[in-house]
Amino acid sequence: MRESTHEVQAPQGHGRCFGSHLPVPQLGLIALLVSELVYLTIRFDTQALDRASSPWLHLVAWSPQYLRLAIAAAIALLALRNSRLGVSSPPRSPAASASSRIAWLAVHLGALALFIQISAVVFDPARSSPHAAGWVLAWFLSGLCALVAWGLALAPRRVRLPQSVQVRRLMGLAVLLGVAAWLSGYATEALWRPLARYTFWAVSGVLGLMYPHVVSDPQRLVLGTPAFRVAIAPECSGYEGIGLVLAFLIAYFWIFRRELRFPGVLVLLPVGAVAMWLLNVARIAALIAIGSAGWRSIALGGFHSQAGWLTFNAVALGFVVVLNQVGFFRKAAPATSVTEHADSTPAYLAPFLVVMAAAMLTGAFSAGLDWLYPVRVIAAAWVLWVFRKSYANLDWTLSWRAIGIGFATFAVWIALVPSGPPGARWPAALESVPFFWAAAWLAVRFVGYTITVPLVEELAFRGYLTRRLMGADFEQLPLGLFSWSSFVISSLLFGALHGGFWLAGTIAGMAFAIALYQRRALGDAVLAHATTNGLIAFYVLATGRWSMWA
Amino acid sequence: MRKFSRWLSGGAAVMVAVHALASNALASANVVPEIGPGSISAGLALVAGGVLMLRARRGSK
Repeated sequence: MRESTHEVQAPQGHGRCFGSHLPVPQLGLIALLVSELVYLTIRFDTQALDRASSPWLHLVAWSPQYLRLAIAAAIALLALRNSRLGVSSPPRSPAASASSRIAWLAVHLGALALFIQISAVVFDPARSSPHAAGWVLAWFLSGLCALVAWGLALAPRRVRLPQSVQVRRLMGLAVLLGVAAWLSGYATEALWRPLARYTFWAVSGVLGLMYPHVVSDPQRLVLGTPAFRVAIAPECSGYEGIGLVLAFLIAYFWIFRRELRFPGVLVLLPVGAVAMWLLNVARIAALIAIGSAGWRSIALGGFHSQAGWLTFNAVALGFVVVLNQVGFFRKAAPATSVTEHADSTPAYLAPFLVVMAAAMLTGAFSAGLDWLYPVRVIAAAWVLWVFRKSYANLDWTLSWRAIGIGFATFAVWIALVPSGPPGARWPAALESVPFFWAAAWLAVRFVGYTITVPLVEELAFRGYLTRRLMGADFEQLPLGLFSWSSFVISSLLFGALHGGFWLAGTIAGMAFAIALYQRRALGDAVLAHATTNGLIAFYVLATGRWSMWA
Repeated sequence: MRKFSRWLSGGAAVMVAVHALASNALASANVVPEIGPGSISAGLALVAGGVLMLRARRGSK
């Protein structure tokens, strides 16, 4: 069974052939700059300059602020580029672009090498202090040179004069917006500490209802019970959650502005901010309650890191439901705008989302080893069963080529993912439990990793996302339809989902997509994925390299 | 007026997005923030997928 067994013509405007144009040089240069920034931020720590005696070195200590400013301007430029102010690209000469791009790239790499050498001196105040002004000037000049050369490598063609005015205006506006965003962010940091104080008093009130004796130190914002206490840092004051939910709502309002009723929907902004703050109060109270009950490692581990995301997701998706259901927030839609066909989006996405939500929930109540992992497998099996009829048309026939792709991906994974030294027969956390329970947990982990994970991830990424990236009416597009942008973006997002293993994850995503394109059968992508995961599982079990099985 | 409000809302969106991103990306490693940076991809994937699914359900009447 497969959704499309024959050559299928894509609807006009969707999908391209394998050789269609993708701005590979530009994407490569952006990836290069991001990698360089990551390397520089890891290697050089500005905290080393906090106590430097020279005021010149304090200019360098401010470099994280320069980075924020640059990110702000870049995002503003991207946002404006798609607005009415955006300019169309002028015609270019590919040969001239390629040669000048390589030349500017060489200049960039040379300047970067110089910048790294100078940074090594500047970030060591003992070496740089005697001639701080000179070193800091050289640091700025070499950094500026590297950035300008990168920019010229990105866009080496000459912009024609009439458009250059437009480009300058656009860039000027982007810089202004970026500076405003940066300044507002910098200014609002001053609000973190007062908000932490309000959060402290609110949590203190909640704890007073739960415990007869509450330990509280208002000066240091330390709060808890005699058994367990925490310090409420400014970062825990609720500010981040409020910022995230406001960003989400504003983005949602902007994207769906044509169907929402303004200014009515704006009332949800303060409601969202207050809801997030109250939920953060509840989160901290729950954290103290968990710690006071004797589960310190869960309180400070899984719960602390996951509860914020859980509340943000609950609030954000709750608002989407409200905006969809409550007529007050919506413009009257024409009767013809409602589609009549059954939408299969839930069949593709629900298993993945349920597994993700289950992982967050079980992660919140675990420390180190996820003892509740079987919940994920049961949840995935249940959703797959609910939508089983939707998968009836997918091709599940055996493909040796898909298995081969799975083996090749396994080899890449082993080569790229740091495996660590061979370990014990069991993960350390399983040593303390009876053999039967340890073996049962490992068996469920194996089943989840080799069966449910490939199914839910392939349905979401290769079954849904690759087509959704080509058009909102993804069901009209045949499975396995190729376009460079959907191939690259879906693989990058798949890689991002694998956190620290993002590079291996991206390559694996590309390999599974290729498995899909071979016969336009989603079953092939699932089979390739399951083969890779099965081999990794056997490798981990055989060698005891448990860190790979994250 | 409409143009002004469009600019205002666009600018505010950019500012909030930038600051939310920057404060998460550059959070100090010494203090565990309210929104755990280790789960950023899972958290954003969940909210994006949730929006897509909820809106798809709305369309299928």
